[in-house]
Amino acid sequence: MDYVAHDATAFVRPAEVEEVELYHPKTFIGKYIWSQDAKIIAIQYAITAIGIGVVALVLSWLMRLQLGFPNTFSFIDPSNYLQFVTMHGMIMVIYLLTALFLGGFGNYLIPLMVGARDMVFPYVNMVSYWVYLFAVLLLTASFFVPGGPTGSGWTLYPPQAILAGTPGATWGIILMLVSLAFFIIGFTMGGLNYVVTVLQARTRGMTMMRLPLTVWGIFMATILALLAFPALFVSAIMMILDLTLGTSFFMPAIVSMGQQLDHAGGSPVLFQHLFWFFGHPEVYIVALPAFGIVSDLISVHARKNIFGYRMMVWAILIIGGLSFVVWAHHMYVSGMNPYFGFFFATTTLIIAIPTAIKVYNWVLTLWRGNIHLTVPMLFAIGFIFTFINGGLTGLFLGNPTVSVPLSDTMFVVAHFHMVMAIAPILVVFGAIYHWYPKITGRMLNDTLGKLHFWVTFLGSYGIYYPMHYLGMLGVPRRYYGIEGTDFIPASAHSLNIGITIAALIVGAFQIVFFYNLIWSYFKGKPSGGNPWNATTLEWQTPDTPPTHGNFGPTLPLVYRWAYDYSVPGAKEDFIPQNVPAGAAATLARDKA
Amino acid sequence: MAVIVWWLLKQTINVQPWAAQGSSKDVYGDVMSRPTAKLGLWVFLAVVTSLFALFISAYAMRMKLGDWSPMPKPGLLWLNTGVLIVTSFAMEWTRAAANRGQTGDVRSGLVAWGRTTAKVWRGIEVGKVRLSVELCAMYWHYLLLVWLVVFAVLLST
Repeated sequence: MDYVAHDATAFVRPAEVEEVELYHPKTFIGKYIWSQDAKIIAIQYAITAIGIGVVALVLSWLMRLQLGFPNTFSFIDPSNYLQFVTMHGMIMVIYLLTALFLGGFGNYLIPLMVGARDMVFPYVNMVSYWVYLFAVLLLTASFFVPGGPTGSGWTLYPPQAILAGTPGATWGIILMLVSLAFFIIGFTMGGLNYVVTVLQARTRGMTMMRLPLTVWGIFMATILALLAFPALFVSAIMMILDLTLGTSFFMPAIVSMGQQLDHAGGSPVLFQHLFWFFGHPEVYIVALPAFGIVSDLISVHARKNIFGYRMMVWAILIIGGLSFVVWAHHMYVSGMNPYFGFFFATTTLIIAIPTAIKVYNWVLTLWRGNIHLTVPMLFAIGFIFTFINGGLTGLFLGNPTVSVPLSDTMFVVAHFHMVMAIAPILVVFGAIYHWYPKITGRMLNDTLGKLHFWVTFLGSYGIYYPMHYLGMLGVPRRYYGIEGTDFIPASAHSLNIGITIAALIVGAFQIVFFYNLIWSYFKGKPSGGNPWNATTLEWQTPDTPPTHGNFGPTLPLVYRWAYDYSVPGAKEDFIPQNVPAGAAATLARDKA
Repeated sequence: MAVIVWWLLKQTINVQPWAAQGSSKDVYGDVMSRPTAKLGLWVFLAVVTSLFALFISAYAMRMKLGDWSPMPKPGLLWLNTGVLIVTSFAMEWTRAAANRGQTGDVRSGLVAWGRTTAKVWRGIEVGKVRLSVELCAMYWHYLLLVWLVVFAVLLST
């Protein structure tokens, strides 16, 4: 007997993951402190990361004060200055950006966007946060130990990182290395969750090619991080051994302060290879989630499907793969074999191709879109500008012939701040303005948001644009003072004052953002479940903010990709991913 | 890395997400039959592989430099290696037994693992511990492999 089911779900195979037994906390502490809910963990990650990030922001002010107004402030001596440089860099790159993009946005968005109840290993996920917090506390502790934090630069190059004379060469450097090791352990626990959740816990119908690009970006960045962080772990362990047990992995025979040390035969360049084998993928660990998020922001707020979805996915994969074979472009002046430079310059310039594809696709998504200049959209467009600017100077620095004279100048500082500080931070802001309504159920204030955008965006250009010129004049980076150098004109000094003032204004203006976050939490306009009319699953939850378990009694079924905006013939200008194909709204389009 | 690339290509080539509109294969396809914990362990082993590969390459680079003095190689290491290989076989034998559902064999093979052992002694059905046994076996084989590589590196210096 033939039986024809009319109900579309009659043929549904079992969910890709069985219904899981969720952990149900009873007490306040169980719910908000020792929480195993990815959404709470995400917020814990975000608050910790932003908190330590504010410390790093203040450190950057102190550096700028010294550079803009040399020898005016008695509390900044050369040792302090180097410590500020080091801690600012390390905190911003690892403890803020990596933790916020993967631990924060990854935890919040992955389960919601793939249609899962939670991460696949919630307990491990919780431990991941607490290990991260411990790493942050260890790092903070280094401000209070004898000698203070390490001042060896965020790259921690030996031999100077562990030699007397470098600030923090006794306590500071050990705390830094141990803290990094803990960060990596904590991250690995979280990273296992992000990868396995994307692979295993997608709801029915959510194929890999229907994932929103945000998930693709975070997923690939996590894979990069899982494979690259071990390099930092290895170098941290070996450096601790050199320092405490007197091994010579990185320490050559060396005379320090008139004393012949016991070390012999080690190679400082070996450390640089290990460090940058981690360090370059780290750039993309920060950039890929930003790429993914910005793709979604642009598509939602331009009411248009993302241009070239498959190309975007492949570009993410190719960038991820290439990022492992370009590391030595950070080492053109390290004394390595110059022929290596040729190889690494080639691979570096090849990365420009998939990156340019992404930029063109963003612009083409905007083209003839129904652009809503909402605050998230402003930040997304600001990102595209900033990323192009930073990317173009990357082409300069990828060529050894241009890079060598520019090495260790302010040009490099300008380049990497444009491309991996301002650009991703603009995305972070855009993403917070975009998802805040889902997290709290209230909209952020629009006027304050726009004010925040324009001051941050223009102010950042005020800081970093002039730095390119300083760099081309030959002003070195990491220098406490540049007085008494004939080749640096007086105008460079006026420029430095201007940059410092811009930095103070932009930094202080972030208060408006924090005020907006707190004020809107209590007084903001209620947002409803889907204020942006977006298609992805996190906007289709029965509750806003989503409760533990995310989707109520049944998981959503996914029938379409994440970008059905302005579909011809459809009733509204968006069709959520969980609306079946048979629905009348889309019939017209299928015929067309 | 190659596995990852191959899998991703398989997932992404020849798919047209914008056109796919709910034929049953598209909507309900892509079911993962692999247990989540097993995949988690595989990912973790990938991380550990990266860690050891980097340690070994750093070690190899350092070895080439002038003053390298080779490590002592006590004969005991050979014996240890032998024991490890035997245990790996024992583990495989246990795994096979768990797959066939023979409690007696499983019990005798489970001398060293606390949690799984406890479960078996408490008389829980063998089917339920099969995954635990399998994961332990996987991990154990992996450790043997890593040790063999590390041992080879030691011998080559």
